[in-house]
Amino acid sequence: MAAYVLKRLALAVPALFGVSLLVFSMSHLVPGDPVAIMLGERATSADMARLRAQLGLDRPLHVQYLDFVGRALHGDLGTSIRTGRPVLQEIAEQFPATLVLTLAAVFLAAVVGVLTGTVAATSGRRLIGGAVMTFVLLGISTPTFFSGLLLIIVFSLYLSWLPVATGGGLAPLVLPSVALGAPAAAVLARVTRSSLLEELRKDYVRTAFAKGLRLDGVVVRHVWKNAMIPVVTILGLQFGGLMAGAVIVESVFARQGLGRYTVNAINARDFPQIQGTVLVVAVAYLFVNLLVDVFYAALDPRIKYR
Amino acid sequence: MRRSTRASSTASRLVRGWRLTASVGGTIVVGCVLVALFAPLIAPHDPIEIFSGQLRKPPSLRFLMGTDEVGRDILSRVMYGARVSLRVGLISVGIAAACGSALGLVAGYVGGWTDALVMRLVDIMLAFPGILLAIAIVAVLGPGIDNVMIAVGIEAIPVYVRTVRASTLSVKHNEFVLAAHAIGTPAGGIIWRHILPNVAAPIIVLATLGVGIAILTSAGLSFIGLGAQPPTPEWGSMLATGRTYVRDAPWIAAFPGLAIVIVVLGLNLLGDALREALDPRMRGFEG
Repeated sequence: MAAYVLKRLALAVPALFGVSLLVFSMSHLVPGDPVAIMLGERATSADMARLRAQLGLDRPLHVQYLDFVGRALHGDLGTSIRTGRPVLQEIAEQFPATLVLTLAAVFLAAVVGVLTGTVAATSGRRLIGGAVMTFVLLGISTPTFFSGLLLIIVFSLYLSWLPVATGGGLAPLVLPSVALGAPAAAVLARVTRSSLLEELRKDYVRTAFAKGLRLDGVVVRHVWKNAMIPVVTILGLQFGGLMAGAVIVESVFARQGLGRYTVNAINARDFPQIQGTVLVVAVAYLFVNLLVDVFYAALDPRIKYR
Repeated sequence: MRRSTRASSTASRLVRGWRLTASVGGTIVVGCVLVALFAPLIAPHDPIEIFSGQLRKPPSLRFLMGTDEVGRDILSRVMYGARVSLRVGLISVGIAAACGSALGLVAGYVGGWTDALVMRLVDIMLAFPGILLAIAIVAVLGPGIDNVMIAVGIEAIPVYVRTVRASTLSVKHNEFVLAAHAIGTPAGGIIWRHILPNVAAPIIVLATLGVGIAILTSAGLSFIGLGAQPPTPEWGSMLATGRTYVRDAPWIAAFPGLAIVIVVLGLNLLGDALREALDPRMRGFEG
């Protein structure tokens, strides 16, 4: 197992290198002079020279890149042009809210998705199967910013059951995580259904039926474990997507988090802030994928020996 | 005997279900395309015309979907919005499908270090989850609907590269490809004339589903202010302004939102039907 984890870690290195290269290039790929764009039209040439020196843009590219990576490895993601504060510190303040929202949405998506997918696959009734597949289609076709607004209208404004974003406890988390998690739940329901259907065709299932086990016993004791491998993979992939999708949901619910921070940074063309956020989310995503790989190597022992 | 009867009835049920999915999806998509094409002829008003004294009016006979926060007709804006959304969807999918398929074909056919280089690039792009890569690209290019189109297109490239490469790898060892190689057809000719037609099916399915995803992503970017700028009638940005008035005038956000859901639903239904038609294994358990 340790060898497998090490191998997987080694595979993450080129991806990390690529991510760092792309994030570094962002401020250099801007059409025109990035410093002029960051400072706006009223900047003097002295201001521009000062910012260029502050960002190190007057040095050769490879020196700038090595410096960028070296500083990032030491936890220095630069200083925000807008606020003058260290970017990592700002991200650390915003990250927990986004992480909590993402985790709540992942949890919700996993529970709802796996259960509805199982019901759709095992229910002999066409009505139930049809209802679940309608939920799946609506889930993947409805944008989070629209379902979020509908949830606010119904549950906050008309029924007054749940707050939009204010207040403590778990209540303000419910609506945003439902809005964020619904498309992922729909995708998981679909994957669970097709994965279960594939497993149900296999010989060991026929044997289990032949020895007199009932459908629910076969599914819970035999099929689920095998059918969950693709589900876990998709869940891992969804995690990163949900963290990025939180940008929009946070904006719908006016929640604090990386989402609003990023949008403000883009509108202000504050590149250290933008680069810092993109880097942190991409690295978090790589880390989650690593965890998922390790987890399903534990779930499916065959993977370790490939 | 009984078994074969059951199998044939299941098959006919599946065919019926497939036809229903395809026809509902197809009707929605064709309807949307027609609205987009003929918006100037069928829209009751100019989408940016402001009717003074008609602020936030609920749906009525004069304004079937009501008016927005500055007094514009929402129905006309939703109709013109179909143009913007379809244009963004089609162009960004065009960018993704063209670049992704070309890279996938070359990587799969040529192999070796070309393949390794392309696949490492794809891995790097896939390290940016979901909408993040599109956001990063818009951050570089600057907000605006044209830049969103490019960003959404680039973000979708990896899916095409992977799918087309995998299909190319399975096709390239077929005898007709070896024969073409043996008679001296150049690599470009083999890829274009022999491999591309055989890997076209997954590209068509991906592209159909991709238009819906592109519409969702671009509307999301417009919603957070990075896409279409006012007064362009774009569904995402219409929803964004409508959210301020959800309590008193929910129709401002509701109609553009419904338009997105209906169009994306239609594209998903059509994409699913195509996938089932082209890949019979997707047709489900017939226990």
